[in-house]
Amino acid sequence: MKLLQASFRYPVVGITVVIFAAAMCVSSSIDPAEKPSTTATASSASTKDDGALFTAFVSVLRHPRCMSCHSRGDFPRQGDDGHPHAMNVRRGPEGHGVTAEKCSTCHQDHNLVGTHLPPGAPNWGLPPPTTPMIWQGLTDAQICRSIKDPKQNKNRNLDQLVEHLTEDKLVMWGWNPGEGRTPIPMPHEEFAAKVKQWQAAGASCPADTGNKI
Amino acid sequence: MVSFSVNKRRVNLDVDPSTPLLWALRENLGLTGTKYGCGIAQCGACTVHLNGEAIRSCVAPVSRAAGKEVTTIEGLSSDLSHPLQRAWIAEDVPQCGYCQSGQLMSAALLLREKPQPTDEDIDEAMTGNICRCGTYPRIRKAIHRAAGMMAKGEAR
Repeated sequence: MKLLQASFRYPVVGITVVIFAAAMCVSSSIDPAEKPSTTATASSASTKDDGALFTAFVSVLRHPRCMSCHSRGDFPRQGDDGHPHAMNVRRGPEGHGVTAEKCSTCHQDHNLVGTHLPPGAPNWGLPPPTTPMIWQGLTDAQICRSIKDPKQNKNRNLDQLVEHLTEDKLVMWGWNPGEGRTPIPMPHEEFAAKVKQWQAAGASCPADTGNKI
Repeated sequence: MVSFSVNKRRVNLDVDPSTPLLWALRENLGLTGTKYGCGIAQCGACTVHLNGEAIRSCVAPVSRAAGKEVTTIEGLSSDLSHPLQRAWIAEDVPQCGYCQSGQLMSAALLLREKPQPTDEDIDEAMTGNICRCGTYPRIRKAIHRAAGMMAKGEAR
């Protein structure tokens, strides 16, 4: 019987649900000019972007803290290796688990202190099954198009998408994932600035020849 | 002061809001049916219901319960008449018994959402509750038995 899962005991890296956008975050107070690496990319793209501005921050979306909830399958993953979440946790009808195995069963709205304790943030959960936002296996271009598509992104317009990426507390958890978990390496301010530069330049997507994961 | 309801009884506790709910239940309210297992939300022994949903009371701060309703194993029924309790007895499920209150609380939510669960449904719902005695086959039988009772109108 598979009630007992061996992996259980060391698990937690937490449902890492990094939401939806998992990854992006920007702060409107950031002046892009203060970020040399960002500035270089932005100026080269000027007003007409070829998708490079998206590519400049897509590594954040592909980070394990984000991919734990944006990978294939109707279940979250955990750890930097993306193994299936302990306890056979499922996406469920609303992205918050099933029956006695809901996200909020173990996860609070904040990280718990200590190794192997469940991480947490407000609205901990996966994207719902109607808009699962699965990025695993997609090219950069496909990810770009999917997050901009209102039919796939919970009907968000571009402003709402950028707000979600840069300010949502569940997304921002990726930079503060709690003890024992690798945070997103790109500084949040840099990420946020890049997202807003991308938006300002027209939010173009790269050609469909990018990397897949 | 943290105020909430436990098994339909209003309680006001003068405790640190960060105190785990489990501590409040056991130490302050004397409801010792809920057990401390791993302390890191991994074993399920401390499972109780908060506003009708399962939570691991060992990691949930008591402040999370403020203004809400908590149900513990003592509140599942006052006289062991809940179909799950009757089925548990009929199937002689417990061995050491330590995990069983958590198992029952999880099973209760399963039957609420899926009154006629398949084996797969049971596995999916109960995987978060570990039993070191390995009573899983009996747990599965008891859940099916309780589901049968409820289908026959023996539900509470």
